[in-house]
Amino acid sequence: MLEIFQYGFIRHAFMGGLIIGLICPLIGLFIVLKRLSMIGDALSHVSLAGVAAGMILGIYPVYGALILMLLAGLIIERLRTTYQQYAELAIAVVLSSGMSLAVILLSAGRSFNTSLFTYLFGSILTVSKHDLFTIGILGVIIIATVVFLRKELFFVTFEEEAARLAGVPVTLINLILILLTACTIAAAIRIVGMLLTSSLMVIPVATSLQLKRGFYHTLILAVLFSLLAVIGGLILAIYLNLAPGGTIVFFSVLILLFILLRQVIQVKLLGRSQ
Amino acid sequence: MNAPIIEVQNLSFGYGARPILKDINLKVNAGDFLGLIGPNGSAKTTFLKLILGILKPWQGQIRLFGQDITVFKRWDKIGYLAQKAASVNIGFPATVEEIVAANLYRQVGPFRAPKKTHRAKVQSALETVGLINKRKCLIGNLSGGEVQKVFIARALVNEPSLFLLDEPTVGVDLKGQEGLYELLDRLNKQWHITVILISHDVGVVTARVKRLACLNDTQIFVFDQPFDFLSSPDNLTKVYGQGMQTLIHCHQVNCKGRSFNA
Repeated sequence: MLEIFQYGFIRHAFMGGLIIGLICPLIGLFIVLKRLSMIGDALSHVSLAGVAAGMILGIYPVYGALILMLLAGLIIERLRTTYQQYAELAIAVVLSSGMSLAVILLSAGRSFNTSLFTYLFGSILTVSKHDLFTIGILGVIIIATVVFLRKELFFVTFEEEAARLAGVPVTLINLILILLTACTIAAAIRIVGMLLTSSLMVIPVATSLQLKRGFYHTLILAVLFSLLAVIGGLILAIYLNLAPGGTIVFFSVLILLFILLRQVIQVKLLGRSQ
Repeated sequence: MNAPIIEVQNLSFGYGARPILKDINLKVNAGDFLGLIGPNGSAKTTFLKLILGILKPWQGQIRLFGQDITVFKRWDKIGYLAQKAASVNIGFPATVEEIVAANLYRQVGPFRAPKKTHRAKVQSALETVGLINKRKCLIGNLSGGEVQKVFIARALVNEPSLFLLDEPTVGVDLKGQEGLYELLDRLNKQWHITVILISHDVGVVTARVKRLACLNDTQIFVFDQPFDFLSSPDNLTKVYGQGMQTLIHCHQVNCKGRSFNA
């Protein structure tokens, strides 16, 4: 099986995939627990507009996506304070704005529709050194920020008011979290595609939450499930000649189903033994 | 011992253009156990939030530990149990220990990991509330009363001199309530923590606290002897209006029974 690694593109694919597998659930856990799961979707839709804008302007599309998503992140955070009781409304507004802008830009530049597919569905097997470099830099920023700010992120995610009273700069931490989400999606769209990025942020987290552990255990488990999905999905995709992005996400869904099934069987067995 | 911990002078506050607190004056000394009562919407929680600096007053001055609130920095000396603490997301994957330790943020400092001394403080706070054996439990696996104790431990972990509690008995059964009042009594008498307790349960609070403050219709009425409040129908009418007469009467009977037994 190891012979596949003699190909440079396979090595790039695995390297890129593992970085994404690490950072997606890392940020995903915080946004799921803040009940902002849809934020990944909203920013992904914005990223499409960013990719299209990048292509029209002739800049690296991931940078276009990143800039537009950082802007959208700031807007979401602003709207979230305006609609305090309906935080999800901020996400819906940004999702619609991003998608409408994307449609306009796509119709303006018809010629690049094929390369756009690379970003819509991801194209892990064509990851270039330049892509890998960008993903690597974003990955390091995200991991370092989460490691350094883990206490703050935990407290703000658990209870904002108490965190504020304890001296945590809540507004800043919320802003950082949204910006990190934007960076994560920017890194992941080239790998799993904008349509599936938020799944990799949410599904491994949904799986690890089922195991009912403490916070840092849950975080580590989510990362492990995600890495397993990336490795398993990528190998399956290469050997069965399937779309890698889809296979990775589907693999993570299979892990979730396995864990859910295990829970059901456990509960049934426990019921019978009592 | 009796230096004022909280001094509120001519405080006014409101939401929008509507004032809900007018010209409030209150002094709380070290070692006090003050009950804060009043009907719904009488700004009890708002008043605590003003003391905590979460809300900014329209007018007036608040001094904490002798310092003006605008320059006060030692917030770790104040423990706070919010009203909605009991309704926090209990599906959150966090252990009792993790939740309590989070509140040491000021002491641990940004970018740093907790040290042995911090972990000892978490242990000691959990011992105080009687949850040391459940420190590794997920918050979702605890009963309502135990969840409330976790939040009390979280407030106590900083070893505060002042403890503010907003309706701590909501959703807690009678046995749990009794335990909570005993704990507050212990904190006040043995640890000399000054306590301010908001409650709806006029009868119980009156029997437990050293002083009583009643908020209603933008005003505050302070009774140095809590039973003075219940013993005069005028006081009850002033704070709760005619509508509360029957309920108050019931508590009066209880209170008289209590004093008779004593």
